[in-house]
Amino acid sequence: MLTTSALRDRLAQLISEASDGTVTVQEVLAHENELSALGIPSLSQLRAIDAIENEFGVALDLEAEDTSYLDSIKGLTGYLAEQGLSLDG
Amino acid sequence: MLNEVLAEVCRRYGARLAVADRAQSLSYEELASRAGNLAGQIPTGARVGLCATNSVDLVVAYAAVLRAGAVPFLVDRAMGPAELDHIIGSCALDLVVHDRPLPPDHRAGTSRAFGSHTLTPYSVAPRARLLDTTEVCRFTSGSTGFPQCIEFSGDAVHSAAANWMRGTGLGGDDRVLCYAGLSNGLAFNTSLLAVFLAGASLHLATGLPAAGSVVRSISGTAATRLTGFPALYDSLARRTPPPGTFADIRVAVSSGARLSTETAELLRERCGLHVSDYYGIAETGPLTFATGQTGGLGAPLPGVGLRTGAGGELLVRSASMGSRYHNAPGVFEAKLDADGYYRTGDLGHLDRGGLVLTGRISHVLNVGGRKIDPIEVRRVLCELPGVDDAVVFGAAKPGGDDMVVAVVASRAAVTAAELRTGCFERLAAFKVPERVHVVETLPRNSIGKPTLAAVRAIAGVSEH
Repeated sequence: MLTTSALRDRLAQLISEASDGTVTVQEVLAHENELSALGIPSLSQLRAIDAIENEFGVALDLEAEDTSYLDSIKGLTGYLAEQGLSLDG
Repeated sequence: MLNEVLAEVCRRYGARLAVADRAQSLSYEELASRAGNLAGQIPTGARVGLCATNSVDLVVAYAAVLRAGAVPFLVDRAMGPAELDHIIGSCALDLVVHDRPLPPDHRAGTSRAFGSHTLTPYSVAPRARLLDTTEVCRFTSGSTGFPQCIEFSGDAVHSAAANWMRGTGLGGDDRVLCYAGLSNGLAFNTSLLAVFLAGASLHLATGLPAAGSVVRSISGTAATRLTGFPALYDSLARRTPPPGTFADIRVAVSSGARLSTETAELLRERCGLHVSDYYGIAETGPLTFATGQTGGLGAPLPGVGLRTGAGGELLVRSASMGSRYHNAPGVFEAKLDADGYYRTGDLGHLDRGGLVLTGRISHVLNVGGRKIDPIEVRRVLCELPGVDDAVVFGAAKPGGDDMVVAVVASRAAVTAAELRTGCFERLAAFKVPERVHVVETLPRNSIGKPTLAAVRAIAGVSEH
């Protein structure tokens, strides 16, 4: 079972990889509450969404009334947990 | 004339589904009635900016502006404060319909509700006339350092829609799922009036076009057509949904930027989805459509003439062409040759009936279908405190995406992060350089011009 902290690190890694060198894992973790402040371009955001859905087998609702969960690691972690991803600690 | 055309299709197709989003759907008669109710708030002849996310209510607002005998100006919702300021001022907009707060502006009056949107009046002088024939205005990232406003006649807008419908076989039983913003030519010309002329239904999706979301929307709307930028298809290719997913999709349209061969082949072979790339430009509307019979970007659509001019530049004339740039007098006219053919800035020719593009003369950058004028980005950078000079250019990232890069000369202690923040505050996010490198001075050649090869080497990036 994944720990919350390991999930955080993995999400940061996927987001950094999706940016193809524009933001580092450290930068993502430093801005984990406001990812949009990093100015990640939408092509990279799209890659990150694909990678997260693919890795965790979940559907991210991009058309929801409130999509602010996409803008923070905490929001994403919470959303993944709601979708049934089991977290330990 | 567009108001009459819309009124006529709404009468003709009455109870059929016209437009839907996740929250609501309207039949043709409901669309006409909702537009009629809102039109009373718009004075005849007013210039009305429409700056909102795709929705049923945005389509209603567009129809309402036409119904009022006013002129809609379709503005990309991503525009930043400096761009909006220029658009409102240089086009002397009277009203702006919006779905998020607009930047503070001394020319703005008191906002009020307009359906689910907000309507803000502006008072701008002086005011250049629109052509008598102009019924719709749209914007392009031009070559003047500011967004350029293209005036379209009702005939041009109608021709673009009618020729697209005819040239691509759009019919009354089609359900068009559209991911592109309606202010963009891709959506405006293929997925708005064209859908309504056919009596088909338009399904508007919002949010990023990630494969998972697209697949769910295809299934939820039983779509027969898909409209999106290449990024949508790249995402589908990354996730590779099973072939059954696309069984009902008759036409999938990509435009705005080149669709990669790998994506097109993978989707065709592994997902059974044939993506039709087409070539169109903001000033002329859609120009070609690839049906699979012809190579490249396909054969010219009805009403389109293509020829190759001096230096291999592609010249085009279409029934859907704009009339002029409202806020850049003479610039559009200067791009027309004696026969009225528009110089596209693209190098290309017809090969066995299909258009093949081989390069680009124009300096305008293209990132995922969004056009970026490096002159505009450079101007914004140079206005930031501490900046002496800047060079802005396009480059490819290792993974294949395109990006905007800036090398900035500064003798002050400015950081790349500060410069990017400054750009975000002024420009649409897609225009903000993804990589910014700060140097003391720019490498220059013997006549004092920055040398692009040396600047690229500083940024450590390859050719766009």
